Amino acid sequence: MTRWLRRAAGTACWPALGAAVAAHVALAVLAVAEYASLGWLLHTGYDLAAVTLVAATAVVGLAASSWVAARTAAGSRALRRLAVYHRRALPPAVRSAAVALGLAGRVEAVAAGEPFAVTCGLARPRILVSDGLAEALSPAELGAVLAHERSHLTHRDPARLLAARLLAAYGCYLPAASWMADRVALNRELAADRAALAQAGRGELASALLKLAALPACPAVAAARPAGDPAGSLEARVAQLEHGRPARPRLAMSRALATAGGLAVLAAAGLCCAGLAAAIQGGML
Amino acid sequence: MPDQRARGGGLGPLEAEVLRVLWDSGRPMPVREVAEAINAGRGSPLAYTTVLTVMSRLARKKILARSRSGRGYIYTPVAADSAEIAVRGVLAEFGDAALARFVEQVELDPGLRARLQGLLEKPR
Repeated sequence: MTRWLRRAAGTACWPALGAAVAAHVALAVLAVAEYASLGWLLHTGYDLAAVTLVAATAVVGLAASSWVAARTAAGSRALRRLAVYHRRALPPAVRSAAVALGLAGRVEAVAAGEPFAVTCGLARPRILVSDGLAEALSPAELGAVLAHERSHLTHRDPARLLAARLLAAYGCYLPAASWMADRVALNRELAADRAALAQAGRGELASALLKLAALPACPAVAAARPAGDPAGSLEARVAQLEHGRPARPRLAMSRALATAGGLAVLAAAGLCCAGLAAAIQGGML
Repeated sequence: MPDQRARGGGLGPLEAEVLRVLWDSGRPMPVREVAEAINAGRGSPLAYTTVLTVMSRLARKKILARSRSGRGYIYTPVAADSAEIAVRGVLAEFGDAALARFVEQVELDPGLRARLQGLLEKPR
């Protein structure tokens, strides 16, 4: 029952968040119109605070979302350039694993000794692997990694992640926003691991994780990486491999309360904005 | 095609030259030796400080690893070729932008490492 409820909340969550963002932007437009028709000093302090809050949060949110969109566009261009300039023939082991998983034509190899596999691209996602991947992993481990990436590919996870990050950026002043985006990313990783388990053994997936997560010996590279497991994502994936149930990081109560408080203040300010607009429309102001 | 490789790796011409010397030698080198090797095949010699500046910049960009040797430093390239530098740079800069990586490279803490190793040993 709780599981059903959680799933229902998960599906309802996205349209609800989208509607909330649309309403916020609309109210911010109203707020600017109110400034224009009532003069920049509205007649009471409460109205002034409410209208300014709605307009300012919308401006901050739109700026942060545009920044994320611009970075994503730059990243996609950089990846495309990589795939063009540094493309390599698919190593035979990768090719046969890709064909076995029905991924022919969707996997590309780039020159890099460091083993990695990523899925990228919004409209037509592709899997990008380094040619070092085939050297680092056994054929069975390669199968596990490609099955994991295939799940990202078929579910268009790069697009989902972008949507989550755009939304989180729009609400970046709310403490739960980044937690929500991390949660979406983690849920996709966990789903991809489950898909990999349907194709490959648990041992293969675990050893691929072990080989690819461990840092290379070179300290200069180590310095460029985050220390530990900041989002707790590897921890959750290992827990899922161990007993089928992931240990997802919880949202701290203080951050949840702060977010709820922030949303309540925003809702009150939004109501005030809408009220003012109605009053202006009715000729009362 | 040196220009295309440099563009892909985001490297300047002097940076590419320094890296070629280090790749050719296959061992860590101090700035003075790199400068000598570059100037051996060059009409107008480069100043030591120029080469030092270029190599410090490469170290700051994490393309060269620097370690102490005696009273000075020796430098090693982190990547095997300019293609790898380009790949590394893109992943480091845009790792969070609309891509799903199999696993992020992290400083694996000993507890997690042991749990993963435990999963290798006992097949389900």
